[in-house]
Amino acid sequence: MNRTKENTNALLQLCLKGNQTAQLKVYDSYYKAMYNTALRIVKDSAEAEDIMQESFLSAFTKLGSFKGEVTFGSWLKRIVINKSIYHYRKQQKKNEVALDDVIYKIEDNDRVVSDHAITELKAQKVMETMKLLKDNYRVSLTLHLIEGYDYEEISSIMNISYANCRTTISRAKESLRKKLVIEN
Amino acid sequence: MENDKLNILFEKLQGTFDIEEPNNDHRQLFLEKLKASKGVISIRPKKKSWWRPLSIAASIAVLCTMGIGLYNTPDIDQQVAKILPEASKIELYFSGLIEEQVKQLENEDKPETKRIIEDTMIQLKKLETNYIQLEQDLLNGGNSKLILSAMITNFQTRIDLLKDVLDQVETIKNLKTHNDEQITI
Repeated sequence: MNRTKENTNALLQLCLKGNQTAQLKVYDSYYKAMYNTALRIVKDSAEAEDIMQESFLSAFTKLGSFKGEVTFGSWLKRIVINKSIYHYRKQQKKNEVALDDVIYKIEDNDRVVSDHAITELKAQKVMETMKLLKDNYRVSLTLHLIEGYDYEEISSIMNISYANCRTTISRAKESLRKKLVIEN
Repeated sequence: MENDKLNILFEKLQGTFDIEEPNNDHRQLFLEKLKASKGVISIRPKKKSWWRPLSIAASIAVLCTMGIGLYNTPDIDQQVAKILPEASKIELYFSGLIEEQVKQLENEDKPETKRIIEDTMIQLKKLETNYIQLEQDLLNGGNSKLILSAMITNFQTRIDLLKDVLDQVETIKNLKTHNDEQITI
């Protein structure tokens, strides 16, 4: 762990000098996580790729302001998330309201059948179900459960109030849980 | 809480969510973008290092000049006279008139007129501060025509007020003598 950290630091020093091989190495070790992070927010693969690469470029240009208070990975991730949220907002403005947002299906609550099996689900299944959620549910849950941000951070990222953030996340969890149970 | 199960699930799956891959040529594409943006990279940190002390020095310099400027600013009246000579002429004329009337009023200072005169002085003070504000506006580059007319109105109001008060004082005095006459008869 410590060695990889030193390794990254050495790489970053080279990046700061504009060494392209080093930059490409950094890209190689982080692109996948960053791509997936962006994809979970914007849903569109081409857009996610763009965001991911843009984020790397701006990270390299702004590398001088990276003070090492957090790991480079989480610093980079924050850039990716901010850019993704920006694109997500643009989508929201452009798109007509998706049909799923309007038709609220009434889910029957009696089927608590295999609720315990919820903890046995696979990542792929969970991700697919996440995509079925309302957009703001999906985004807030992604930030909370996958990226591991707390309420305060999420409310500032999504530009909503703390209370609003809490309720959104708790409703999103509820909705996700129901969907997982039914799909099972 | 049922939602705890969700937390457990996500904790278990932590790190396995990154299942998607970007397009095959993403690396090539990035390399091109990287080349296109070359040269931006190492400039920023250096730039910052001379910018900061310079900006601090600049702001100190600005503060100093402002301080000196404040100390050395000529009297408001002089500045007004520079901008609008008419204004100072008007002021000279009216203030003489007003002073005369104020003196006259002070001569009438008797117990029965004390209250009205005191109140008049307060009102005059208010009008005066108003006038100073107008001068300030003029210096700040307001519409000089409007401000000049407001200045004249201000003086006019002061004179009207004084005249009114003098009239009233006169009535009070007359009322007294009148009453006295009635009593003696």
